[in-house]
Amino acid sequence: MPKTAPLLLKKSPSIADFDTTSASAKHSFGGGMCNFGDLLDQEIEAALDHEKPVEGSAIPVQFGFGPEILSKQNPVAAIHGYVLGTHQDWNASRIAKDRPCYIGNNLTIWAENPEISEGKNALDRALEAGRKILKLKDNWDGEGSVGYAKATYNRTEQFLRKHEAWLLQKVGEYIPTLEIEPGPEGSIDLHWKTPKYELLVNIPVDETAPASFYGDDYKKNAFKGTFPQDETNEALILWLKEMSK
Amino acid sequence: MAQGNEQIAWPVESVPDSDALYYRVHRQFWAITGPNPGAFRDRCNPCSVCGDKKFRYDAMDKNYKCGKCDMVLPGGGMSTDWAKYSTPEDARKRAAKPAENAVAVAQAGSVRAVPGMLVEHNPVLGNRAHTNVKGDKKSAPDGTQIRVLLSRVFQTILPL
Repeated sequence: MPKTAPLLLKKSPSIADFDTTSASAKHSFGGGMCNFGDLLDQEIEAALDHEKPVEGSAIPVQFGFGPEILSKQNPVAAIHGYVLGTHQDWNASRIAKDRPCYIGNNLTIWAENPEISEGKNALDRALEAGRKILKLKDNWDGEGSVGYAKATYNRTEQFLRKHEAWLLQKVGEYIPTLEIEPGPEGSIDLHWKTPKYELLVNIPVDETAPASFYGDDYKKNAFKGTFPQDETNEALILWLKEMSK
Repeated sequence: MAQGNEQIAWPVESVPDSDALYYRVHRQFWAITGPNPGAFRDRCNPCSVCGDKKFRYDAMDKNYKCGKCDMVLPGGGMSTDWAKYSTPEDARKRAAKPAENAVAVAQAGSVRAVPGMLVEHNPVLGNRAHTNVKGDKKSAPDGTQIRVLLSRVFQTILPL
């Protein structure tokens, strides 16, 4: 097995100490303020090199392999963390910069799970693929359809990143795989579709207009609503959590 | 394209629930399995009074109205072609860029089963098959719901 030891940073502070929405998430412990990325960088390096607790570390670290250790520490059904193929992977990942994963009372860094790797990159991939709609200018279909503005797309990205950060913070889940699609009149649709659920969120062109959503399980359970584009919506988070299972 | 102001050359008929409607969809709105919710939208001609292009659907009046001066905009809706007078290939040829369009199909009754949707034959010059699916597809959040439900009703009949 490669040296991609899962880390448990135990005795981490309360969830309120984490600000996963900022570009450089920081977290207070031991009386000082440390940059998460820098701290984890050191811890991971230690894990990769030594696979044993780091003496004198600000946060005690426990190393181990396999889901058993995490399960003992966190009897949460779905434990997700970050895939660390190599130290360089960590440095290159956006998570190192602004996405610490918080589960139960532990900050976890996990490895060797392709599903987690999928989850980690799903949003970036969707955003990259969705960017193609910016090439659609007014009358792109020859029938007068409205083009798509960068400002609308930027708000879409902010919306998704904010909700993924919240999802990670609350339940340790990445945002499920989605499609970013052209919506009516220059708006942008965020579309999640699985065998069990379908959810559509619409981000309108007008930044003052509310975002709207509709989701159901193809049966009797459905929900819909609106909310300000710059806010997170708890009902959506719960649905996204269900969809990520 | 909504075509409400042209001379009507044929009588308006009632579309039976069992009849098929063809809906052409640009490839940008087309997924592997069929049309995306984004494909389902209304079109209206600009207001003949004030010239404004914005419109809204008045569910009480069951009509589209100018977003600025509130005039009724005749002929608005989601344009489909009634299978009684059209083939899927005909429907595709009516697109401005036929090669970039697929065609989906749904039974009129299935469309009417989507809340608030009305199927109205609206023959126009050059297209006896033209049929509008009227109803709110853009208000928040009802329009979002309607688009999801319509995307389930329409199935691929002529892929890209």
